[in-house]
Amino acid sequence: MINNYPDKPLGSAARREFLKRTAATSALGVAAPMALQLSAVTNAAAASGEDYKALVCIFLYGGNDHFNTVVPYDAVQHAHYEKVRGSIGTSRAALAASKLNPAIALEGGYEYALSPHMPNLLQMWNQGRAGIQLNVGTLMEPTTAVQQRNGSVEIPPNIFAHNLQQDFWQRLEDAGANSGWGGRLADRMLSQEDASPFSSISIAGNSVMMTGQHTMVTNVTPTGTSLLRARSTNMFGSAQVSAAVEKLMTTQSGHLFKEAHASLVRRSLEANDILEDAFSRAPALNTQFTTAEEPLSEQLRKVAELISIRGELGVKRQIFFVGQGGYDTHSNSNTTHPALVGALDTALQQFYDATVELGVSDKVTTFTGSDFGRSLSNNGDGSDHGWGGHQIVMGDAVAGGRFYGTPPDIRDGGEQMMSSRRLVPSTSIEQVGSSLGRWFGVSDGDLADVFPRLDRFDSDDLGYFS
Amino acid sequence: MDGANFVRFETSDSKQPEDAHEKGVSRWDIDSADIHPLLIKPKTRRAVLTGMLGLGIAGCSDSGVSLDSEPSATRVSEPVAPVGPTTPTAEPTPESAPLPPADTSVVYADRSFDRVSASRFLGQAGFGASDESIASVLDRGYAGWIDDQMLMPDDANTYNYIVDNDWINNPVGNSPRFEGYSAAWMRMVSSPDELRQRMVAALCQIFVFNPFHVGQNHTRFSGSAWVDLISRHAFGSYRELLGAVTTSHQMGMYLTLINSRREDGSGAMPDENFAREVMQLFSIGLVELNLDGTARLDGNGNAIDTYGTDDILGLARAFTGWKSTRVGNDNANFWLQPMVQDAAFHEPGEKRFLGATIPAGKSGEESLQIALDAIANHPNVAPFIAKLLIQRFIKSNPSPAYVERIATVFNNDGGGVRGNLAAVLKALLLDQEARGVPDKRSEEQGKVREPMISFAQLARFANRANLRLARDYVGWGLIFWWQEGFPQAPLASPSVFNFYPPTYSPPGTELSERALTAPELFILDEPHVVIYSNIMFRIISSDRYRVQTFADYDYLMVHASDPNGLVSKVDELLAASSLSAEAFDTIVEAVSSMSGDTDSEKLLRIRAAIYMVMISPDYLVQL
Repeated sequence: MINNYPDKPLGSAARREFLKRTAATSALGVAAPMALQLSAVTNAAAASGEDYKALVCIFLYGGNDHFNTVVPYDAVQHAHYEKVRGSIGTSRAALAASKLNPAIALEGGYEYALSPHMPNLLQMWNQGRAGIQLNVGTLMEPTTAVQQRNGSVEIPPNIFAHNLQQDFWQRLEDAGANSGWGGRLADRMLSQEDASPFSSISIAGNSVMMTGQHTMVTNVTPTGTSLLRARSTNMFGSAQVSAAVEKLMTTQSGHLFKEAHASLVRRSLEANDILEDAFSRAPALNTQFTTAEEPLSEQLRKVAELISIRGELGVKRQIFFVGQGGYDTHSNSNTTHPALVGALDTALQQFYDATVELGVSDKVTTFTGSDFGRSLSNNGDGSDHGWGGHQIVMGDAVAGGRFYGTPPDIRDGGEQMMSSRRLVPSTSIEQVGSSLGRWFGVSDGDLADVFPRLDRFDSDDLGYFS
Repeated sequence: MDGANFVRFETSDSKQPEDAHEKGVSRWDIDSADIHPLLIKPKTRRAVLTGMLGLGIAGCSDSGVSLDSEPSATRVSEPVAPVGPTTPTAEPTPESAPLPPADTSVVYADRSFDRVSASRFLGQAGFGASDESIASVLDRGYAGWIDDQMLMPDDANTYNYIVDNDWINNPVGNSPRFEGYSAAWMRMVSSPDELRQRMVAALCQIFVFNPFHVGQNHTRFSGSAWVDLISRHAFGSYRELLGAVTTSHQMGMYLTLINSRREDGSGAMPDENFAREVMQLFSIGLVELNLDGTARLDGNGNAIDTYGTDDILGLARAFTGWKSTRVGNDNANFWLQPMVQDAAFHEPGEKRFLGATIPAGKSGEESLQIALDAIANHPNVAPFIAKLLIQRFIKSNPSPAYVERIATVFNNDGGGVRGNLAAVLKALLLDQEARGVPDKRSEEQGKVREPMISFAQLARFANRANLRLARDYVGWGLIFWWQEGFPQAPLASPSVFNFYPPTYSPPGTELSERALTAPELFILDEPHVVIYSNIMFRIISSDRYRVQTFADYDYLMVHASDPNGLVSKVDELLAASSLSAEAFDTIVEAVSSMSGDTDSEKLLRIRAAIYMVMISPDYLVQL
């Protein structure tokens, strides 16, 4: 379907010329960020599936209600959960069939059950393909509820504000710096031959997560990039007009706003040329995704399709970003939240199946993130913004069927429980990132650069990979 | 109001499909060969609709207000009177303070300027220029034109329009789900009071409400009533607007304030959603600001939070007890009414926040007034709102001095009134930084035009002789946004955080190197700069898409035999003659290559010239 572009895809000669042209301008710095990374594409022919790894971030926009995703199940914790949650809680009986049985029981008698609306994830847990990271969030340094309350430690800015917590989660740097940790992980691959403009791809629009100090994110829509109509049509019956349109849209300008716009067009056209060419030579993906109903499934299908052309693109390391919206369940959460995690569950399974089809199920690791967790309290028919929450890690490289991190005592007075009944994270996003980054192939020294506060925490590897 | 030209869709039956893209959009007879497979598909828009930033479809059916059934609505016989100036506002001109003395080298409040300056002003304040509007500005001066616009009757009686034209049985988009957007588009593309419509577009990006997220059968009512509410207050008082927004059913449902109850021992807590966002997004922001919009710093050089968790909890308690006026399920007119208090659910105890205290025993109405007064009187409001408005009208990176001048007018319009939005708007349009001759080399100058404003500009440009005919473009705006990924539509923000963060700077560009913002480029990413240009081609090149639409370019025919003159004219009206010499020559050359003998050939030349101007970076960036 992506090959219906009426114009002939760039032939190999044209493509070489394109690469030569962009390579020649690669000294221009920020003005030619894509070109900077393009030289590796010439290695496409030499690429293979053997040395390939991808990280896929599924961002749950709005702050996932982790208390109803990975639910306290042991009698002590569940009793408190049920008492506080009331009408938005789930009974033990309703959770019994989805109890998570880890290979090694958690200390302290903590038990959890998965949302009953996530049967696929439960199965993948049982098969050892998925694990749960407990109580993770944004942190400046190790923090307890008491320390948060008495102000004795530094805490991230605006911990309950959607946009700034999304920003902090993805950036993990001072707000002035314009890069995210996904992009910075990709940066560390730039010195290697597997760097490419397709190292960092977002299917969910602009997100700071995916931009590095050198790496530029390539935005792709769920149905592909976009072809300039001027290239396929004699606009207003005139070839000259079509040529003029492309020239006007791409011409370099001295004005910063105009140049930014023109450079976006140039990047778009360049990326599209390369993807067109690659898809024209790749077999179609067979795994079925329920794209008609679920935007997340549609985004993940595009990720799978892009992974399917990794050889043509000549990429060996890729980071993808997709998103699912609607998690800000202040109200009516008994209806909305099960539908959201149900859609997530379906999409996870479909994407996993696609990686099996592509022979990369042990080379692709998928993980979730979110603005923050939510309050244990019930506001009538929903919950409010929280801080720490639980997240999912999935893939055949994952030592699944396990919990990572520390289970929180959610009772009043619990070490990580704020008086307003929100969790203080006991694990930092930086620890999650470094665990994933090490598997990805980033060296210890580089990890310390990517994650500026990593040395403040006791572990930089949470044991996701056996 | 004559709606005959509006609802002109070829519906094969009058039954309302239940699902837009299954039964509605899919039978819109789009020539499949004409849609590029890579363009975004209808389903894809759901990612946007459900809110990538999280505040997606917050269902409200459990909030005591059932929106499941198909409502009826009746005309409201006595429309609420507009709020705002009934006489010209005190002119915040250099002569009459509170603006500081003008740079005498920049003459902006008199009439000694030319057509190009007038066109530039009309692009900033309205939806682009016409010969008539340029003449009006030249005749009346900038301030006079603003006064004239502010005295025009509020054209926003959108709710009644929908009832009168029976959108209930003949929805313009064949589905009720998106009619809230249609209502807003309609005002934007065809209302003659263009300054008010631009202000509505700007205010709707501060006080964000998305009708799709609060009841999909109701969007035409909730959305049209919202446009009317914002429009009514557009030149009025910020405090009154804040009050109307807070008690509206729309905001009550969107940010789940409705049915938020006091703590009653059951463990349930008051809903914090509105309490948080009203401060972060509608009034004061997260950190304390100087009058010039820069962050105040403490002794250690750190920004100072405006509020903490205790303020949120206190404010959430103050906002408890609001419930719907809706009775039964068969009439939608409740969207025009404020919510009402239920004393049983209002927190009676003392409430503290932002240094204010509501004594125990105050009623829900009293608590709300005290709370909103405390918020609206916070010193942050002036620079916070002033900067957001400047970003929508004039430039992405206003100087601190510019923000301070406008914030000063916000704090006092010269007559002792705080939050006079008409005075604020007038001041920001007349300011030396808005009116001064743009230095095209200055990296801080200008902004990327909003795609939806460009769309409205085109619709108006094509219907100068009869503006009401621009309504025909509503259907296009809707379907292109929904089906093909046009990057923006009125009221269609994915979340209460608006279409783009005000601080966004595109990575990997010199803009971000220099810490300059370009918010609109958040939605104009690599795919969407191309999608925008493709969709504009579809509109400009054709008289007919799904809906029969006429572009009336008769007024340009006189120029069509002279490519140089034609491009000059289009450039002047659409882009305030901002095309570079190189771009101008490129377009003239392309137009010259086309035959221009017959009328249809001339029309093609006109359309080609319009298109090439509207996809040029020189146009896309408003200086």
